[in-house]
Amino acid sequence: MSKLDDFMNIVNTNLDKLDMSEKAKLTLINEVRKPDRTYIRKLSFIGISLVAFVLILIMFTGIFTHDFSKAYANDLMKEITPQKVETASLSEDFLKSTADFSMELFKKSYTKGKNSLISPTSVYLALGMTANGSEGNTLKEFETLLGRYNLNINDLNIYYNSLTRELTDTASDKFKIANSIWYNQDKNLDIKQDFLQTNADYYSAAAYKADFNSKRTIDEVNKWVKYNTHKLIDKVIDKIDANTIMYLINTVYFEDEWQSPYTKNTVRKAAFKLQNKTSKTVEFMYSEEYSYLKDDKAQGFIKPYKNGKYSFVALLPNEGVSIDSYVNSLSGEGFINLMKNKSSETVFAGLPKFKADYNIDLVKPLKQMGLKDCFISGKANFTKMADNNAGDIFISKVIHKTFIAVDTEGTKAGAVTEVEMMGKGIVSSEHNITLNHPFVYAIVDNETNLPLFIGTMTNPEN
Amino acid sequence: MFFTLITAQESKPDIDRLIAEYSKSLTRLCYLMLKDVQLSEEAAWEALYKAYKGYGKFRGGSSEKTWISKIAINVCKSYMRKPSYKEITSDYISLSYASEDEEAYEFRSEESLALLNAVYRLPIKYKQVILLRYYQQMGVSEIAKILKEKENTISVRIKRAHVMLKEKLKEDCL
Repeated sequence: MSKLDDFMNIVNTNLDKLDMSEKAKLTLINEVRKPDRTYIRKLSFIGISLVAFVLILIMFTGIFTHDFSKAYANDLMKEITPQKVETASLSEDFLKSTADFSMELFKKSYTKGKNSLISPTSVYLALGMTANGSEGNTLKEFETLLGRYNLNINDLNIYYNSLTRELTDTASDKFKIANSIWYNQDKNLDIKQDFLQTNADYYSAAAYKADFNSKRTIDEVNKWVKYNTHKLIDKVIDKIDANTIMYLINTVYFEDEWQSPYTKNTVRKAAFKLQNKTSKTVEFMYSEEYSYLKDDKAQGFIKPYKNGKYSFVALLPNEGVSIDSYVNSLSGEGFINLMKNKSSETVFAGLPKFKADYNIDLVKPLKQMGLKDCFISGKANFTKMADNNAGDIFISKVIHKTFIAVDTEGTKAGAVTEVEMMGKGIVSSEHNITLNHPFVYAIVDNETNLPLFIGTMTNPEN
Repeated sequence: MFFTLITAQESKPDIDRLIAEYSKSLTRLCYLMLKDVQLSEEAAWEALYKAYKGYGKFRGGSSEKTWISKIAINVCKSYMRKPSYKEITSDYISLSYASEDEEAYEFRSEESLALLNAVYRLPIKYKQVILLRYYQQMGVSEIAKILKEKENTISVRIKRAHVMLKEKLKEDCL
């Protein structure tokens, strides 16, 4: 066994001639030196049907003077090793609480007449991390908001961790969730290790201590976001306010292809009725789908993504039901039931190609939903997060940014072909749903029926 | 540390250097994992390609060699999971890759060949710790980081691998 110490020599001698061939080396060099071409080729071959990302940034404010220092940021995770924590199968109470939160947030953050889009998943994960730093009534408000059906923060940590694992359990990088905590290295601020540890354990949150006076920190935060959104968003902060002591960031990145991609001749231009009674011509993608949805105010369809794990859900309010009143009628339970009661009927579906981005400060919606103390200096109790010798800690902003692009395969199908998609003699059990006026859409996890993204499309921009 | 990540992300490494430094050791590492010459070349190719493309993810917390070895190990594992990959049934290393250098004779003794064969017949989780520890010459803490395990677990695993190796070597002698 002493030979093991010579193992490297033994391997190298016995496999002396084993190396990558010159040809392989050459192709490798050629491949990496033509990055753009490879990328484009891959793109046009594989085709990306949908890309969506979201970001939520929670900004904490404290009051004190700054300590000027030259250091930029330290990775605090060197001292913090994420521990393996228990996971649990997602309980009915958790799913109900989360669906309720998701729909309530959507209703409260929806802007009339605009293309709204939020990712409840991103928001509850960021709030979950934040809640771990709170105590007393502040914590109680978080628990009531996120775990309406008697869940406490420990339950939520376990469930959020389990849900994240379930959602990101794919072979590819196509659903990616990232969390990080950035805080000022000011000497007055004494961050609690337990807070960082819990967030590392349950949220895989990275922690960075940085000089908030340095422009470089702004760059680093922005680069972290850019990296985790696959370059879809490159800037989230322009400057750091003098009283900001901490950023808590979550990003969700989603990219998938349709199970049945649209082909060129299934794309046609047609009219989309806007809310102001005028209409505009946009490109519609037509297909046959096999899951039909219906409630008393709307009907819709489910279009599956390639791996069968997620689905795109579209809900078109019935004639006479405005998008505003439909959004207002949504509830967590209603949405879950709608999904559970899908029927296997053929739908001839028309979906406009669209891109949208949305940007909202969630403080007001969250206040309306019952989160109050955490925004008020003097009332907010974040004693489990940090000791700040120079003043109180409270949340000053909750920025939520989203982006979505839905299309066929990223190819421009400008040439319209005269192909009649609708066929002849449609029998009555089949449905014809063209999303040609404002509608609600969501990207849903098929396992839990939870909406990971949900939005309204009132004015499609191709 | 985070800042290294960012700096590294901006500057792409020199592919010629990566190939010169790692192509041999990666191909051999992959060969010991996969027992197949062609697959090991493909795996090493893919590992270097991924290392180049993902250089921004290299945090500098470990050495470059450690980081690239980790990528290679993961590539090998993904190959092994493919239905098309059937573990090569031959248990024995081909001598056709051995050095012809007379001075290297000691390392081509029957004993050393038996050791190589015993190593690559180990179950994967033991094989990878032995390869990382003795071929890539990494410390226990580095291996623990790569495999996301506790150091203690790795130490125990290496010890168990020693015992298993001894048993396999005994079997071979019989």
